[in-house]
Amino acid sequence: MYILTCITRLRLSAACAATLAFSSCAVQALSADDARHLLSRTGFGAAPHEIRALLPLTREQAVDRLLTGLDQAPTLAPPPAFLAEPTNEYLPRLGRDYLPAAMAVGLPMLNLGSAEETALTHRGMQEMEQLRVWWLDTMISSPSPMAERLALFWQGHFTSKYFDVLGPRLMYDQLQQIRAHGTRNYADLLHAMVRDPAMLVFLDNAVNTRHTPNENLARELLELFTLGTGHYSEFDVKALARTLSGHSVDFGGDWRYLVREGELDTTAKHFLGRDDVRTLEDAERVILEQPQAAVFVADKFYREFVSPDADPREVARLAAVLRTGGYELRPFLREMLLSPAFWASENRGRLVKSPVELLVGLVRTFGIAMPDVGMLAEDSRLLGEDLFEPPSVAGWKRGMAWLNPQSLGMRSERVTAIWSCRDAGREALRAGADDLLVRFSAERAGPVPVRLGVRVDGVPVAAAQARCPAESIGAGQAAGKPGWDLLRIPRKGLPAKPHTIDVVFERGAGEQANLFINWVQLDGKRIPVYLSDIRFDAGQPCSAQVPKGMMYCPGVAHFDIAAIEAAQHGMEPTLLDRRYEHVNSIIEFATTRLPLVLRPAARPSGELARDIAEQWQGLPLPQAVLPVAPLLAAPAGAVEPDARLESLLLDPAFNLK
Amino acid sequence: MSIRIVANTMLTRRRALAGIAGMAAGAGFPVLAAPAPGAVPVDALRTKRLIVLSLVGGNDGLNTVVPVADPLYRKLRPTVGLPERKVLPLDAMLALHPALTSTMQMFQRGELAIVQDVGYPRPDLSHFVSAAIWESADPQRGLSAESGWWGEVVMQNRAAFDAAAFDAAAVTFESSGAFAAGRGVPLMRARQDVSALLAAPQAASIDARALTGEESRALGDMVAARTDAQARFARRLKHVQPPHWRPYEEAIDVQIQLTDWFLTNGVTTPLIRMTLGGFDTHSELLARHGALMAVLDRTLEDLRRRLCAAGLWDDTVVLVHSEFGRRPAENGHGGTDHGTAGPVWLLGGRVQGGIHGPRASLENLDAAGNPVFCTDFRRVYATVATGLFGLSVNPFADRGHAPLPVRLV
Repeated sequence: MYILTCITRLRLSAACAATLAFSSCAVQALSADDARHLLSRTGFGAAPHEIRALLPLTREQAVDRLLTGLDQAPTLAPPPAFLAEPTNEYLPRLGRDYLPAAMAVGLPMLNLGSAEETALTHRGMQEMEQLRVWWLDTMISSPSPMAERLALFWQGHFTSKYFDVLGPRLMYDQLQQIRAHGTRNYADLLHAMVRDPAMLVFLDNAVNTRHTPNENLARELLELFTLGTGHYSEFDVKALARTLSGHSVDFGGDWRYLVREGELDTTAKHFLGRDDVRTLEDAERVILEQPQAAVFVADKFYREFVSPDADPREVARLAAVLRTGGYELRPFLREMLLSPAFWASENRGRLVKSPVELLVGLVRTFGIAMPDVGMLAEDSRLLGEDLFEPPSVAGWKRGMAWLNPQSLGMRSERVTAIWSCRDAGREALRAGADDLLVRFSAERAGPVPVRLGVRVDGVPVAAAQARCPAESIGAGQAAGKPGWDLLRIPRKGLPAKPHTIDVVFERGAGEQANLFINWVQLDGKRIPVYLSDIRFDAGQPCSAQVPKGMMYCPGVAHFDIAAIEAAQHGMEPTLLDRRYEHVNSIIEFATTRLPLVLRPAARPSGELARDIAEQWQGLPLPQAVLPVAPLLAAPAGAVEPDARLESLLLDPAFNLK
Repeated sequence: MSIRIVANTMLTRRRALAGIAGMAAGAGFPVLAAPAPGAVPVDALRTKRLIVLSLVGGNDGLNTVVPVADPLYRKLRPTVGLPERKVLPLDAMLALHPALTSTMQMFQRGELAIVQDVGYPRPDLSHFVSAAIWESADPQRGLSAESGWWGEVVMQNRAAFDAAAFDAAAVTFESSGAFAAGRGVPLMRARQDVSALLAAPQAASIDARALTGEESRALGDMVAARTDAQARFARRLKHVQPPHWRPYEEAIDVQIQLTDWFLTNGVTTPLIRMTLGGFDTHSELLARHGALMAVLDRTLEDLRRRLCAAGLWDDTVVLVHSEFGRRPAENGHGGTDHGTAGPVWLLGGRVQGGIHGPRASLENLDAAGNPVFCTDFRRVYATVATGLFGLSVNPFADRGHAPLPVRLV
């Protein structure tokens, strides 16, 4: 049996020709640690079922399976809600310093400081948050996390920063381009990026004209995106800037790519040693003809996926594969992922997870059903990786720059916060379409229980405690937003046509706790808290000034259902509720209508994960979770499996992959 | 126009001391050797401390230290300008916000130095970037910088800090501690729930030096450093009375109480960093900023009182700053938008009080309508490194940012 399987797996790569069954080469079946290493380097974490799926395979088969998986489009997250509302009201109307170039390209200018512009700014922030949540949810639920990992890599390479683009739809479109081309062909990706509206705005090329030339995109393209310092001259930058002139954005219309014919410079230019570069296509072709172009990309991939120390010969070998393959990425990735360096034990555990990789990896590895993916956006921001806002055009931090004594502590706090909320999401998975649901979050100082109750038509139907309140009272800037929790009351046993629902916040004297109510839902109809009446307990100092639902004092959120339905004329609350005055509050009115739980069926575990530790049965625990030996001592004695897992999560070695 | 010109309140302790010393010597009494004015004592690193209070959000400097005699102030701020009769005069031109009454008393005692219009070239008007610049002292790299200003100071004066054997090189309560980022700079982050400080630190399971892989070893070193720092704090604090918390504590009060608790129980650290939030006043400036000034005043008064009670006020400097000031011209909503330069305050028992540094012109603003800074913020750090701690290596002075002529000791 064994010999048969061995022979059927005998697809020897050239490197293995001399070494048959013993060494670390493709014919060997993967060990659990190998499988974990491959998954966590190419995706986000490694869930037990993903590890098990790879165990019977050889390294080659496993890598091929991952690469084929890149074509599996994630069917899952519906696009961000704001895309349903087309708009061309983007912020350069707010008076960016584009003069006089802006005049030349017809950029509309308005005055700073009016209420309308403030509303626009806040709307943009809310839309970007929807975009972040959408992408994070895609990372969590995709059957091909490698596709999203590559998108994250490329987005940190061909960078754009929302703060300078100020068009959420543009950021979405750019991400979609990256996702489409980033797993296929580098030349196509480059072609798309130099015509991408977000890029053209971010690096000022949209206002690069013959009379007002702007070199920003040309310079960064050569320095950071394609060749690197020392492989081009200042004359090349100028020539490229002239070639890029006129490649712009339709500001007056839909903000899509627009070529301003009158601004094109199609004269023959001297660029990177060629004399006849006229168009942007010519320039791209000449760039890609440079051997350095492939080396630059290969080096970056090597440091990002193999080891922080790039072996120049290995990089050169991989660059040759990329270049001779017409910049096709799959053969290049295959070569890299099957190289001895990738699997070498001295390279294991040498890369550092970025905040997004750390948090998404945690959620994927343990099949945690996030009650609120927005928590991950907030947490990754706190840890220094605010998606769509890289610190500079040079992209994100790398390697050990992510880790210092302070960030270590913050990372483990965030991991703990998500881990301690792992039960909250399970509730959402159990929710029936008609059940009475209350979405809320809570904060506190110290180990005080945050208590809430629900009454229907005056009759108590539930009493509960917040499962994962944030320890944010008195913590000021350092605290994350509390994550959403869900209270579920089965429909059965409730009146057929209820008149009122009360959400009651109870708090004892001296207790420091606050409750934030987002919405209630019954019979599939969701009612946001701003349609309720808030009544604080007698003698409490809280007033009606505070945004509704933010219960800093004990009291009741009273939902008069009939009155609400009458006032709404039977219509449901709007999809995008742009109440900008609440943008800094914990209540997210703009998410009222979003789907409650995003595609539980697509979650890796499929059914409810009753006991996370059960999933790890049969897999050696430390090796399955950490790339290196734990740095902290595991708890002694007979310990619950969950506690043991928790101690591994909190081990600093969990930051490595 | 009735501007009280505050008489030169520079009757400093130093002159008084000199007088007393002179008298005493003349009368043949033994003279207690007071330190020469302005000379940094040899053991300054061990005896002095800096408390950095960051006002987060961009404090409106122009309504804090108000150029009330500048007609442009009134012109640019027709509705949010502070009425002359309400502000607290500092000199012929400047006055303090009316809520800063305790601060005013400190100024009159000669304990408050105001450095006007501090900023940096090519100002960035983003909170995150500008705050990162102040934390890293690196306007070029900002968010991408890999070390903090205090981290640099510690790393470049390694021998002195090792000899001082502090419990922590710095203490912070909120924020990521970017200001102290650097290899081998033990930073302690403290929260209201002090159990993490007092608990037995989780023991390492392996010797970091035995690890292969640079990254694992570096992590191992960090774990060891954190464990050691926690152990030092626990030794000082485990058996003393813990802080007494009221039913609801504001974040700043948590920080003050923890600072007091640490200092009175002998925790040794040269730098404590606090933050006070809410300063991003794009609207309702008068009401919101007024409330913030009251909190700031109360905070400084509270700190001074506690430090005096502990006998530490003469050896402490409080540095108050913000990541940027705000635009001189008011916006359409009764507020002001992100700006550039703003005042930096240095307070302490031995600080040379007064107004220091030139004031930015309200006439020659930059293209965005903001003042051009007059004093580079790195000079403030340089002043601390040399003039407070007497360190032999001053990374900021080495890069051309000379210490300010403001005595801190």
